[in-house]
Amino acid sequence: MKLTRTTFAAALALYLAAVGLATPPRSIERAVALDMAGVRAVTLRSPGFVTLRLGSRFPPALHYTPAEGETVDVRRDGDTLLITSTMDNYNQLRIDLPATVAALDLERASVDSESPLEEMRLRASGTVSWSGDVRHLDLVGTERGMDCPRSLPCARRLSVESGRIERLTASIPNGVIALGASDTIGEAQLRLGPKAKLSLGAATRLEHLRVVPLDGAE
Amino acid sequence: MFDVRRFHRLAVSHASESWRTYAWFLAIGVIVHFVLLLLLMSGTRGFATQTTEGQQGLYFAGLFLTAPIFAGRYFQAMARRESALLLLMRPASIVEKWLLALLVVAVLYPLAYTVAFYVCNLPAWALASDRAAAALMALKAQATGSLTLEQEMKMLEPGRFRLFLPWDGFGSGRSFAGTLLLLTSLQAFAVLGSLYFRSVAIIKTIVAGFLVMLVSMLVARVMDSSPDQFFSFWWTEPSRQPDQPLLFLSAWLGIPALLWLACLFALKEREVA
Repeated sequence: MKLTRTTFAAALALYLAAVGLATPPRSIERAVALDMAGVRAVTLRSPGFVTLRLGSRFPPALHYTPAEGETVDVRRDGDTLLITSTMDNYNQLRIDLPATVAALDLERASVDSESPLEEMRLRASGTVSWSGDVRHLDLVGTERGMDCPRSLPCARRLSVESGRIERLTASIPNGVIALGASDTIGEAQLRLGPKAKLSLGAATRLEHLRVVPLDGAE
Repeated sequence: MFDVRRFHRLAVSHASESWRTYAWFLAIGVIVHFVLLLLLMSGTRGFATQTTEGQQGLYFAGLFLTAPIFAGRYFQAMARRESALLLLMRPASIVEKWLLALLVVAVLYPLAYTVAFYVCNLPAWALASDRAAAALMALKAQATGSLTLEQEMKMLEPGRFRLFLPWDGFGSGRSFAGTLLLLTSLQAFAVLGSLYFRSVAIIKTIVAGFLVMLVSMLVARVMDSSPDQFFSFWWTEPSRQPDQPLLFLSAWLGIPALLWLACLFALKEREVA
């Protein structure tokens, strides 16, 4: 079976060469500075999962590694900054924002505030998580139709992962509100729609939690 | 080496000897498909599994599972000395026997599978689209204006429950070519295993395939490569290094060609042995 083995070995070598040499092209991270003077709200539209960081230690900027044809567009509408991205990979876009931003309108993102904030109103139509200290955090789950793959409803999950929060208000028509570290939340009022669920993480104390029905959709 | 009339006689005698075996193979596939559909479509929302995409998934899953099994069984006569001698002593050249195997395994089986697929798929699709239409009418009657309801109604639209047709499953000619090459590579590997290994050929072929997979994972790890760049060659157009398209095309065309060539040599060398 010498000829058989040799031919098979040639096929195997070709296959392993193709697999071994399938190195992706090196992508270069780009950084674009953001003019945040007078901006109090940021609206972000992106098919991929985005990481946002709020604080005063770093300049406001976009950081992204676009593949061919992918773009990020930034426009200003009054005191609202509109960011639209076509990048659909996880963490392909990272945004640094100043601690003066008080409202975020997101689809799929994680938000990490490194500076304590007075107030943050966070509207989300997909999976969004919050980490950071804030006096008043208002989470709003929206029913705005999202361009999800194959027109299926997207999983909606609003989660508070960590941070000291004096007052938490949340309203969600469907999906999950998850309080990962509820011990650091002072008081919470949650308005849940008929198909919404509440998840409490490693809670050892939650003295001021009020859950009421949501009247109508947002 | 190749005589058309001799090839025709070989094909006719093979068909008359093997048609029952092939019919049973397809019948078992139809029975498994039927049981699977019964399980999937049970429950009040079971019909939602029979969208066009659901049918497409079942079709290709069944094709890629059964085609290599069928290919591995084509030369099962070679597993025993007596039947192997009969097969090898047939009045036809090795090339003709090999060509017949290629024709039956790579061309005729996918066509027969497609026909067998619709035996169960057609009634299942008809039932699912009827139930989806009824569910959609029931939701429309509620008419509360809720966006959640609108999303549910969108999932029940008639456009999502069209009958799946194999040529619709390929987005483009490239996608069709890639699927064909992948399928024929798996089939060639299965045939080669049945010819190369003299005993317990199926198990040894599966083990060999598993070892090839392990080695390729190791190579990808050592070379820090991204194998999906190679595997997705026919289906996506991501950014690639300049020399990669030629390498990938050569591999995609060369691998099935070399595997089928190895089958020809294996048949020849078994005859000599």
